[in-house]
Amino acid sequence: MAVIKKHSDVSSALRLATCTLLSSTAISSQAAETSGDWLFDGAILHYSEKDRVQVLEPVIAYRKYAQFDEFIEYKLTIDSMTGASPNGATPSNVPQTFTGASGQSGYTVPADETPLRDFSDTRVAFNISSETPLSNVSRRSTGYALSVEQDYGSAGFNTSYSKDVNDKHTTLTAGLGISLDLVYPDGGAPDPLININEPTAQGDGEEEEGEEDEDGEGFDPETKGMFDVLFGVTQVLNRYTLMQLNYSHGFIRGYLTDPYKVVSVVDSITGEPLITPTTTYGTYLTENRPDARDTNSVYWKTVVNIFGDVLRVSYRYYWDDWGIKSNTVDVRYRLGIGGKFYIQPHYRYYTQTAADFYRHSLRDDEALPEYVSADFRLGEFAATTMGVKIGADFGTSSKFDIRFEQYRQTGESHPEDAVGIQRNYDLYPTLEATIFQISYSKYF
Amino acid sequence: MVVHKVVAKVVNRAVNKVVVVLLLTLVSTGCVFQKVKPWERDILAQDKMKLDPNPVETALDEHIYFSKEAASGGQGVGGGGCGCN
Repeated sequence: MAVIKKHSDVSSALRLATCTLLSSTAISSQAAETSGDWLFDGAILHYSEKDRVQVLEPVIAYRKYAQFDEFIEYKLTIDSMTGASPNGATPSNVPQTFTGASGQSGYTVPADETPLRDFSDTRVAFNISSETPLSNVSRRSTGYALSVEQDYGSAGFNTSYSKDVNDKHTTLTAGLGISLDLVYPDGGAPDPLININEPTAQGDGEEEEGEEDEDGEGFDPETKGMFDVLFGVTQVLNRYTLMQLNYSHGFIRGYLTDPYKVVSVVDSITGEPLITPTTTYGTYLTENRPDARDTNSVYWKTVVNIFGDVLRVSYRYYWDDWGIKSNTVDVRYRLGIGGKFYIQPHYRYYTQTAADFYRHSLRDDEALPEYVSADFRLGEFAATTMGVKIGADFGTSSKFDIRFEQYRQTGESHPEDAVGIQRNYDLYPTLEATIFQISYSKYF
Repeated sequence: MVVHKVVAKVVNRAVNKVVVVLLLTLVSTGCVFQKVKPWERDILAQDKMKLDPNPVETALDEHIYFSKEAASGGQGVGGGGCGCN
């Protein structure tokens, strides 16, 4: 956004340069004159999945500029989510009941349907970020993030340092980010790999005979820590082209399991849920993920100006020690359509391989694995996003745009290792979502 | 689906234009690398040429994809955590 005020900046900078030659005291008065620019950035996003999750997410950000692009920004995001998401269990030919497990009252899902769990939550996030020039070729940016929802809290800090070299044709960046998250589902996080329909499993993990027993009272969250480092190079290729290449590495430690997800245990021949003798409901185990994850990504982006239009292409290769490998290609083309208006089609293609411990279900004749999750997001799938944005850019004063996108995620619906009745069901239902967003920015 | 068709049409037209321009650029310059003098930076200085001209939108997108996919990050460090994944 900083460059929106380029005209005033350039003229101010020229005046400043002239003044520097004449008198050093003039600098401060000119600097005072150039400060005081506020940028308001507002957006509202509506994300809607067919029959599943609905999200309404307004964002407001205020950015205050000082001289030479130095700024501090305050951003508030409210994320209101309702709907239902898959709980990990596979469909069955009989209604399925889920009791116990993390703070949920029991619920029953009709036969032949992918089991979904209703939820509703509101997340409030507050971010402060700033960028400070350290010299005419280097700058530092810093950010603080805090977010709270009913069952999750996160506090983070990040900082990065950039230096221009090679006559400002190359920019080197190094950054790091740290965050500490708390997971506190109602009733406490369940113990891993317990049958939620076994009466002893109900309530929460604290009542289980076991190791980490607390007194079962008060606030006793699970914790998760993240540490990220990033190294990047940005290169000006010519008058019209900019290119960026980043490598980042993340260390994640702590409670990485989803307290709400379960895994079905099915009969190895019929594929029907294994009956829990005491309650006659099916057998669904709470999932368990490793408590460490190391991630890597290489991210490349290029921005090209083509007769005033802008092509933006990026590619990311991601891999981690959970066995996930992922490719993402993102293409946007900002096409001027006369005056201040433009149209920007967007295409994104994403693929990922499954985590080593991803299973659509467990069979009753196999040994219990140490780690298992039936979360679709850890399975193998491909996703496409197609969308279009229409915007107006009123130069130095304001910007307005509307975008509409469709997101579609498809996986292996009929995996070869499905048994019995499971072969009749879609074990990776297609996810379809629409994204609608209105954004507005204005300088004051 | 209608959106898909419209987007596909615009993408096709855009891609044709891009390919022609890239070829012309390569042929005429013989090289993609060219020193850019300070006074030639008018185009690169435009807001729409920034690496991320819409940080608010980028953050929203990253949040959506973080909650639906296993891979995340790459563009920068930080960002608020959420219980959505």
